[in-house]
Amino acid sequence: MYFPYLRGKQFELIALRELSEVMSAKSDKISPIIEPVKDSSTLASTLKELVEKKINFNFIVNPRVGNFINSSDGLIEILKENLKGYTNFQIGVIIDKKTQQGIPELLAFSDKININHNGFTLIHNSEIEENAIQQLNDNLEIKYNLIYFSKTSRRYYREFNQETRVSLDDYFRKLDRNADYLQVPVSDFSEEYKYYTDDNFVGFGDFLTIGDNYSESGFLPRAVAIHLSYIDQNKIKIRHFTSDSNQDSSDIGGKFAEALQKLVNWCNETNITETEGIKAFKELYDRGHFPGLGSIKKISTINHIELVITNI
Amino acid sequence: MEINQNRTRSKWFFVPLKTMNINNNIEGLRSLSQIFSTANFNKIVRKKDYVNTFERIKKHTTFSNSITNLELLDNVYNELLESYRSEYVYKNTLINKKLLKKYSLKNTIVLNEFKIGNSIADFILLNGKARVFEIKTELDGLEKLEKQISDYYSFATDVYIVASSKHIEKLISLYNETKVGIIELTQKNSLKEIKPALSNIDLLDHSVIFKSLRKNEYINALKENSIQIPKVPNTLIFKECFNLANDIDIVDFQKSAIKVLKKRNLKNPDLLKDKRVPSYLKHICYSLNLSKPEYEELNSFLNKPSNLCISHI
Repeated sequence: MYFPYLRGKQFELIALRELSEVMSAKSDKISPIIEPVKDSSTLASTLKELVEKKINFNFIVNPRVGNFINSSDGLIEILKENLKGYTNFQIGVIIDKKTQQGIPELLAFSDKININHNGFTLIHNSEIEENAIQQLNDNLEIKYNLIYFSKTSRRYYREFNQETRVSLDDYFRKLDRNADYLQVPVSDFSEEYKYYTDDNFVGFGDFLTIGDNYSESGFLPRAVAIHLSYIDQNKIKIRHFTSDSNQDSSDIGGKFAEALQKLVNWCNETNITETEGIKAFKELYDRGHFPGLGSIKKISTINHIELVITNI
Repeated sequence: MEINQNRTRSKWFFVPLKTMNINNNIEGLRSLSQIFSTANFNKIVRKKDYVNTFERIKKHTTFSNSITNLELLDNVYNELLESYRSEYVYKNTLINKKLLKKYSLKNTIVLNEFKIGNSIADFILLNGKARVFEIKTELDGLEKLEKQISDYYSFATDVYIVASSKHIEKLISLYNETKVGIIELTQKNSLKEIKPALSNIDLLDHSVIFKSLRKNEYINALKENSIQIPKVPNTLIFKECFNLANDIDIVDFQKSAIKVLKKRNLKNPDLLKDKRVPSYLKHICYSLNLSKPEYEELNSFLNKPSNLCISHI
């Protein structure tokens, strides 16, 4: 089972919405995690779409970034409003030092959740003490424990029941500036999709080609980089297609065209399996159209999720 | 007799330190100066978020109960004029003394923090021509100045340095033989022209001017020169238009760029000029380009008693 971790920014939610058909056909293989960051009509429409296509998902009620920090009750209201009785989802709870200090409050909160759901998904962003884990185990019906590997110690995952273990990590190699990807045409991502069952996990998660970082607003970059996930000898890798004329931030559409040209050339040369994402890039190429930076991230996200779920 | 009485009373009323005390150490003043920013007033007017403002006020001042926000901020601004002339003080003086006093808001606009080449111009007045004002406060150094001035001349014909008295001697020695104008912000906070700017068209640059425009603006600038806009996809439009712009005489192209940039004008010039907007906030109101209801919100904020706002944080 694949657990793509999405912050509920506009383009990430739209990616999920547009992928709903693909996900629905593989509904036993995917369970997206949504950390909502903003109350928007897109959040509502995405939830409705997931419900309609009967896709299982995890909805975090204690986000650590964005406008919903400390708004757990409000998030339950949003679920209630849009799910209309749908129960095939987990309540997501981020576990960190802050959560550990507020376990009584968390348990009180969980007691008064008045919607039916499929249990809890805990996302372990840092280790907590054994007795805190015990308390959670005793009081919550825990479906999944996502273990953020690079933020916990090597053996922490063993604290949790095997049937609930999901690995999580940020495999995306984020560089400071887009132009830096010119030096790095390709980087390794992960091979979890191949080995997670051998390692006794029920699933694995990642932060796609966005990475585990969150910023409220972008700025106009000097270079455009398109990140394309693909599989090479049982490993997921990322190709970075980057514009060349990066002296200033003008002509962003022209920069996109440069990067897109490289992407299309590479796809044609390597004869890569065409995903919906690649089709979308080729269609933009044929039209010479720049859809905006958010849409480029959206297509990269769509490509990544589709790639993973068609290969597990 | 009566006149005399009035005078005494009004004098008493406007003496600031009777109702308010400001710790005028450098840390406190720096912190208070940050109240006067567009970002902070954006919070105040558009989000009713006063926390940033009143935490600073609470920490660095004491004042009597009856004072309104209008008076309170007036006191703070006056203290800045006296002891901590930040960049905002310079910009706000320019807005009041250049734009509002000398020019009509119909024909003249101000661009704030406007990117020209690799520099960001502090303050630009656009009417028939483009005048760039580069601010050097007593807190600034002059290291970047040469690069900035050369960038500005690729966009504008007239460039001024507006500086604290501290820099004037040095600036005269650097720019005496050039076309750069020098204006001093005197101790009394008036703008004294030390040396006028002379127009310089030699360094105007198609590329820099073109890149300072938004897409609809460069399209309109070409249309101003009777050039037909090619029908191409949006990944090509910039390059095609740029090539066409290169063929226009540079002086004409700069004039049409000014013309299209002037469309970025104010929604409510009359409200900006209104006496209810205190002179110390003119530049912020200009930059935020407030709507009518936002001016009303600002007004209601200014007329609130300060202690009410403090008690809410």
